[in-house]
Amino acid sequence: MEFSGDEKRIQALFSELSLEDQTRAPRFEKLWLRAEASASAPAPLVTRLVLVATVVIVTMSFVAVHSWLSSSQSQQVANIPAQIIPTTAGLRLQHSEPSTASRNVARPRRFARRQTDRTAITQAAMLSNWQSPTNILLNSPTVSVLGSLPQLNQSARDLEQFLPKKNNELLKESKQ
Amino acid sequence: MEISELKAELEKLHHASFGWALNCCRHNRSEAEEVLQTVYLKILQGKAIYRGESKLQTWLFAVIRKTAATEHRKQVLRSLITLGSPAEKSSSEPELELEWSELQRRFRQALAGLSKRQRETLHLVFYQDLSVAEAAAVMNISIGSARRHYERGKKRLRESLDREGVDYGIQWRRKENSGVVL
Repeated sequence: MEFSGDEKRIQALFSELSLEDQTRAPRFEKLWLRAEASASAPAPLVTRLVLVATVVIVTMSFVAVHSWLSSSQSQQVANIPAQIIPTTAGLRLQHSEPSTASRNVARPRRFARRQTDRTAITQAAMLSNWQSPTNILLNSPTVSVLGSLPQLNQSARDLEQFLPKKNNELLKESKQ
Repeated sequence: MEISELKAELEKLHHASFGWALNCCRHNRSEAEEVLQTVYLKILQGKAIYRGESKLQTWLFAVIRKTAATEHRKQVLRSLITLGSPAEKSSSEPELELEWSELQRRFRQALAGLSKRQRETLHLVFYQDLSVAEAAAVMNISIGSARRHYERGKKRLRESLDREGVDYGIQWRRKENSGVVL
């Protein structure tokens, strides 16, 4: 780049600065060898620790999410109204509590039983509420007529209403 | 480019690279050394790859600039975490400052008074002898912006030197630097 006037002077100042820096610059070989040594060295302990911590956090969060999902499912089961389900499961759940010593031993088994009970309750609720998709075809407006029996002489009495009154009286008189 | 070839080229550019690293590290020698070593490490590990899209010097200077910025950020973060010394270190070592002449000190002060971009542009143009376009490529800005920084920086530097009464160009030079042509 061509400089003129003040620019030349500024460049002279920078050249001076450059010479000053060059005298203090570290040797290329020194920096290159250090870089090579760092490149071949294994990852530092901090990096490895960070990696392990990341893996642990990811695993723990996965487990937490999984357990939360399962607990929310069980809550949904608990929301089913109790009157719909006439089962013995409720009675079974109200068994007398075992002693504290055996409680810890029986905990996993009890947990499994509770799970099965909950599944059974859900299935029972679903079955009791089930309706056939063709159920609607069985309903008709004449259902009340078809579903009730007619009374004796009902048709004759119905006919009397339609007959003219005078004729009836005339008939009675002629008969007399 | 082979690594041996690249090494030879980097060796040729070493002094210029160190000068640029010094500028990026606010003339802190140890920091500049660390930055340059990190840059060489990046090249060796293949994190910084030269694809021949620009001049090697332009590419190398861009890598140095980016690395220096990253290192500076890390340093600030570290100082915030430890709540220790302030993030900004003194720009240079005190024993070096004693060796500088009065005029040289004034010139460095005048440079420190410029904005970062202006200082970088002037350094690349006057110190590294790059064109404004090449300086723009190193700084990852448009040529127009680089030209604007160059002009404004030059003006401010001139004003600052005039204010300081620096007769720059004649009396400032040291004895051992008599080869510099004005």
